[in-house]
Amino acid sequence: MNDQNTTINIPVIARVEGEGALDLQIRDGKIYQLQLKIYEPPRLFEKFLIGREPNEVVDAVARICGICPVAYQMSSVHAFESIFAMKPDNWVRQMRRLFYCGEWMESHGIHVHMLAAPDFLGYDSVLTMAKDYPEVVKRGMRLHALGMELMSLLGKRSVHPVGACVGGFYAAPSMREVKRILECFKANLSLAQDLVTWALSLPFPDEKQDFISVSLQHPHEYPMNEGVIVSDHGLNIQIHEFEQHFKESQVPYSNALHCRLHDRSYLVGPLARVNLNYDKLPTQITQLIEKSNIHFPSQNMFHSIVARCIEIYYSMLEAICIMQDYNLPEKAALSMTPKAGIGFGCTEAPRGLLWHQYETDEAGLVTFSKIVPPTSQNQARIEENLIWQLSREIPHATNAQLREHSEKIIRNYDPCISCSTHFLKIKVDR
Amino acid sequence: MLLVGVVGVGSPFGDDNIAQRVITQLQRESQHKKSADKLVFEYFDRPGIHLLEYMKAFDRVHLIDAIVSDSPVGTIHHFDSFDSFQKHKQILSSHDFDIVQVLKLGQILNLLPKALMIHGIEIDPNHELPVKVGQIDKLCKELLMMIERAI
Repeated sequence: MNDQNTTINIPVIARVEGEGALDLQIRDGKIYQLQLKIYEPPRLFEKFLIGREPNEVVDAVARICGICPVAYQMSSVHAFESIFAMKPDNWVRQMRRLFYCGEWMESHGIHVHMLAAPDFLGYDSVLTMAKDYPEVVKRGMRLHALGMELMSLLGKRSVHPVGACVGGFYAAPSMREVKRILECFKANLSLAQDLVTWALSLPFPDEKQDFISVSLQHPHEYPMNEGVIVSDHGLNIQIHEFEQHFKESQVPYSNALHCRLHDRSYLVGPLARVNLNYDKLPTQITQLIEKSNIHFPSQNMFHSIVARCIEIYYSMLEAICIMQDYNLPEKAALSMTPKAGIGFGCTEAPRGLLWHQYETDEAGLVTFSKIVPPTSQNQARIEENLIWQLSREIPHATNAQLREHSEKIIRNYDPCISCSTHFLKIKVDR
Repeated sequence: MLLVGVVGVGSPFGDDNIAQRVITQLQRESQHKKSADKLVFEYFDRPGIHLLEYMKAFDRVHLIDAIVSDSPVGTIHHFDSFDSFQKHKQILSSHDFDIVQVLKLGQILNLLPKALMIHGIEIDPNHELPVKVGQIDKLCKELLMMIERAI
């Protein structure tokens, strides 16, 4: 049991993308102050995109994040296409979904197996977990590698891909290469099914938090690139209406902006997507879920790992469908006729909603840009989750336990501080 | 046929890109060697877990990475196994999630190739003493000789 007044500092939170810190001050046995600090300097991408051509922007924004470059590229191409009144054909649309399937598999595969699974199974790292669960780790590595294959297929390389452009892709993948990857996907599909079954069987804390889920929603499909922005509290808006409802603000202790919906924190990411789009999941997946004790929509934040595994399985099924119908297009991209205007793009990055806005001049050069990444949107929710959870634990937990639990809670959101600037050190003052 | 992977790891920034520069030159120089059809060259900008998946295809892998110890810039440290690499605690990989962790995971999962040689090229982490072009020529000759000898 702790003293009534303590400061706990976690100087570097392990197993998250990027670096940040957490300061927790406890007075009279209650949380006096909790600050999630993203202290790395702003990366100023929005400013140095100004004056650039659209396709330079598409390549540049891929460098914002080594884990979710496809999301940045997809949000930007949609924004520019809306300015230039371009409507890419179904081939481009399908390839963009395929590209996104790769990124979800790659990103979720790493998080589930390397970062989150040790927390659920009681290990300090994947290295110690791998000794007891080698097949779980190998399965994760295989699924991750398959995701990277898809990213390389369309992006020409899996890290910071360069294959996408405004209007489509610079080149169409060959029939032979698509067929080869399709066969790999078919041969490994059972891994993804096993993964969902495994995730559903993990030991979860029994909790129910009050939070708002926000994601894209499409009338016919699980959302990736298109749709309206919805919440489980009645929001239903077009992507260009984002700023009428969501407000970013600066907090003095963090270099990343906090984003709120009607002055409330909210959740974006896999759990929010599954909560709002469960009816768009195929029966292969919903049948597995319905056999378990876990139900969606879920207000248990720890079910995020299940949502990630569901999306890995979904990505494999979707990728197989798309590749089975693959044909070479006449053109892999529409030609672009630049003009002045304002455009918006909003797609579902692995970690959630990624919103872009660009303004261009008559030559199509960027005069204004704004990017709202998912980790900024989840920051206030993470702080609320920490306060909710730690308030219950403070009377009986040691500082070491508070540190450990804080890290687990934060990791559960898969924060990518590289995007929001970077992430985590924790300081507790009691 | 014996298949040998020659894999470089390192970000494109500063001298951390030494492995990329070496791989490019090795690929060019090996084209006319007898061993050319046995060698597959690849480069990754980080030592992620994909490295383990990639290495599964090869009987022998030569891994080239930038390292930092107290030797002169441009020195190559050769290790004929992961275990011998691990023993040299004073050597640090230039990556945060370093190659040691990835290879350690590979060892636990029994995913390392039967033969693994690690070649660490000394760099200056402050980039004040860059590896010179002439040094790269020398490094490549030394590496190619070791790779061919191993075949």
